[in-house]
Amino acid sequence: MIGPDSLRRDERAAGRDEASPGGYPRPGKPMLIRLREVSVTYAEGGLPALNAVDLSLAQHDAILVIGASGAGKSTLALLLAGLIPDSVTATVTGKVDRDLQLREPGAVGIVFQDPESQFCQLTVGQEVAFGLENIRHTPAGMPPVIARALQAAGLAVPLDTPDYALSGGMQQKLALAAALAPSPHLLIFDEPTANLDPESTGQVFSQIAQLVRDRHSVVVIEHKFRPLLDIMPRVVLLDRNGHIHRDGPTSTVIQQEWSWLIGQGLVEDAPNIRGPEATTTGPSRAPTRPVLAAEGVRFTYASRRLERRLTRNHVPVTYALEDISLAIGGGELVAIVGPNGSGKSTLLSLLGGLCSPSAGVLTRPQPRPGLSVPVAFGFQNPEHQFIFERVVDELANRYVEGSIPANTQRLLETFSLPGHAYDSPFGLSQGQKRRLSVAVMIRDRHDAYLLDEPTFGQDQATQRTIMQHLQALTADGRAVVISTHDMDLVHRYATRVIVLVDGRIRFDGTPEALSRNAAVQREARLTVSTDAQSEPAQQVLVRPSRFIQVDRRQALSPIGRLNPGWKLITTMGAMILAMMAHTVPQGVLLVALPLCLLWAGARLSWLQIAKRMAPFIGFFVLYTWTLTAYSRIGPHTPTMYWLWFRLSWTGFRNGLVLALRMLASVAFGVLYVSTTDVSQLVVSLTRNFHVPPKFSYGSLAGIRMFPLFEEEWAKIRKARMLRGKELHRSRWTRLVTYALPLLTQAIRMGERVAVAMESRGFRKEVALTPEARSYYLETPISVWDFAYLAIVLAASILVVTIG
Amino acid sequence: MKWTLRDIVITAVLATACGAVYLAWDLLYKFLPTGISPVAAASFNGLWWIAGAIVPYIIRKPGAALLAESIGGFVEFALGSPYGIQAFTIGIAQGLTIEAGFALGGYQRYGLTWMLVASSLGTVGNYVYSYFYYGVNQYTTTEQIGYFVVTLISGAVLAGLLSKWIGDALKRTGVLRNFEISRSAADSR
Repeated sequence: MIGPDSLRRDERAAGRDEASPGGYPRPGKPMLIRLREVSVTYAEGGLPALNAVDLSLAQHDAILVIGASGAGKSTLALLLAGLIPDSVTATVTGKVDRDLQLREPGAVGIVFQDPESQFCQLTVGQEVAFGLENIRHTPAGMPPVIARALQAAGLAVPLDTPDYALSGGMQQKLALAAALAPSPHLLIFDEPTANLDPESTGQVFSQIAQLVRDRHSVVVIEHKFRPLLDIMPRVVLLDRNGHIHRDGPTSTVIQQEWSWLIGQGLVEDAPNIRGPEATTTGPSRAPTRPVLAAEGVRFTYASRRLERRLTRNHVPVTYALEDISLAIGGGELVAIVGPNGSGKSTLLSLLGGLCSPSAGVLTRPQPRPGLSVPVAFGFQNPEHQFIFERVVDELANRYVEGSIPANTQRLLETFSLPGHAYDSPFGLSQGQKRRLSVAVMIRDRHDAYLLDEPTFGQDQATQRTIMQHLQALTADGRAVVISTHDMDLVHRYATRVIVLVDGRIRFDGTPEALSRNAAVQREARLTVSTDAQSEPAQQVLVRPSRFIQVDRRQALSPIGRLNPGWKLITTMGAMILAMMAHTVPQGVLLVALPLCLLWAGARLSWLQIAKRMAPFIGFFVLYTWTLTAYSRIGPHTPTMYWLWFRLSWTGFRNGLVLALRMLASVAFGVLYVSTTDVSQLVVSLTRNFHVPPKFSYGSLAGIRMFPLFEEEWAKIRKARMLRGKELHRSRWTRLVTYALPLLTQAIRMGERVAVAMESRGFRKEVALTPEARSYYLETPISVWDFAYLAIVLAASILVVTIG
Repeated sequence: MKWTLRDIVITAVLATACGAVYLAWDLLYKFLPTGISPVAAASFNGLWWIAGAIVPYIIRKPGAALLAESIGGFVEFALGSPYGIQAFTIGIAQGLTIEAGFALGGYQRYGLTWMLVASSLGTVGNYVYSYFYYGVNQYTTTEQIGYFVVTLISGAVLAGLLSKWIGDALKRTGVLRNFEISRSAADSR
């Protein structure tokens, strides 16, 4: 389609080349967006998320948006990005004036909170290219733009790195690169560091500082906004009703509104000083008999057998924890801190009895009458702990019929959950979910309470509630151990802090002593620094996943280079023909065909082929057996009766043929999977077979979340292990307790992915017609595709007609 | 009745999860009833098209059953199903006949009865496919009838009833607010 739209796209594509990394600022209308009396409501008849908002945003503006949880910050971000009401259903009243240039795909870049759920492709290169494809950037011109965007975002990894292998901080940089690539006129950050450790947070902040220095138009929504106050010249305060409380120059507004910020629970009135409650239960209390103790504990995720084998062969074993010795007494509130991957969660899991040490002695309190679970454990994601469908059941730990028991009612009130008694735990807000999970933990008496990042993603008010409850437990002589990234929290509440670096205890002492020890703080990267000089190691995680990646050797083999769509047709054709095999020799030949193709065409060694085919042998035997025992047979066939089976030679032969047919189609399947990249298949379906992009790319976005399911599943299983003892009553609820957390999480992530894709210009025509976008990956159809089809089908026909 | 990107991504997410379940079911099936009797084995069948029931129950758009079963089958295949690419093709066959069930209801009826009926229709696709590919044609007539009837019940229960149960539980959590299941609440009798 040639029209003003595509012309403008070309202008932008051309202008990009001479621009600095990121490609703008460019001259134009100074005003980008003006909101007048704008209200946004999600549910019909519900309270507005944004309430009569007046806001104008001009080019080169850099605005910081601050507000409590539920103040409508994300709604504002989605509205400014043009995603409400099209991508996210909501009712909008008032007047939204948006500059025309902001309506083009890719004109507004947005970086969301959760790094995992804003990607829709498989590799770093494809991810950045996705936005460029949506503005029909020429494929040949993409590599330099991608390289520039990655550089501008500070991400230096190979283009074929799988994006799920990146750490959280690097994923946020990738999201930024993807947003920068199409040269947006406006960049929005919606709590980009909510899921990051202090070091990665610092990296993201320094990128934002750079963008502001380069005079990009930027809107940043941030919980941990302190370090941004020096960077962002303008600040907008949203109150709890979704109304703008104040809008103006940062220094003036923050100075004048400090007490308002305290009132909204956005800042603590006495930052970095431990509250009076904490000092009373502080280190002055003499440590009692240790509740939890470790002596020379070591832990590896490798199995015992693997560990022994590695040690025998003098291969170094990687230990998640090493040389851990500590003793934690009643009355202590211990915070475990350290960079991501330093072993904090592992240490908590060990103390909680979720896994056992590879070496060393671990002392944990034993169950005794009246205390069946001496150590309580709280997971990072509260949903993993929920096993009932209603809040009241969760609190009572049983299905409540009739009126609410008095102690449950008391818990509802203490944790400000009244009115939610009959709601689903999964439907609560983040803060409510966390409060519920803590309420469930402290309902029963335990000797020790372990919590993995209990204040993660919570606003100050919820943090305070939770921490005060934990303090009350220590005052009562119980031990509390938390892991956290929040150093403010440590200084305010902890009586003791343990710093882990690379699986070893690097520091163990009071928070005061830690704040005097600059070396440890630096080594454990405990401070948020916006200093871009502190370039971290760009470490790529290894998260194994079986079905998304194809080995390089196979990808470059003759069959690996074929068009994935046509290859699928050939494979299915071969499978249909295999059905016509009726004799054993035919079957053998039909199995031999794909095996030879695996060797000659896909360049797998015979050993690799044997390994890949081995899992299917059991099925081969099973098929032969089923028909041997059940085949319909003529009256004169010799038959042997045994139990209720009737065994016959005819049946055996029939079974063998069937099993060989199955093996042939399995081998063709192995051939296909070993040589085909899923993203290539998706591109091929759209380009060569005219599947609307929204179906092919939407499906890919869903399928690629598979490795995340595996992780979620593992976490839920752990959580069930802990509560399992209490669960013997209702076997049938168990399915729900597994399915619900997994599926609710999957659906939420899926929805976020869909919104993220649309925010990158994948909507309307672009998502509907294959020709409306360009493609980074090539999937040409060549004469070889038809030659392959002809050879495979001809060989199959030949086999089934002779013999 | 138009598919949104959100619908498609959620279809793929749910179908992928089902694909993983299918694979687990493949392996379980190997050890349990097949060696004993094909009729007993048929009681397993229904779970293999749960994607074709749960997705239409939530999304409620034309083609939902077919798309979900195709993706579920493809994922099962790609994860290394012992049925190879047949896992994908039988998924399409089952998806087609369930789709017919929901189409008969004009894509308006998703109550309990209709869920049971449409889900049990997956049996037709399964039976026709298995007749030619999995040697069902070799069984005696009695066993074939037994296989068909048991599969019918298995489809209604393991695909239909289970889907409705999980779908309703999900709906109560509130995460399905933006999907057709929550909009057409009046129809889900």
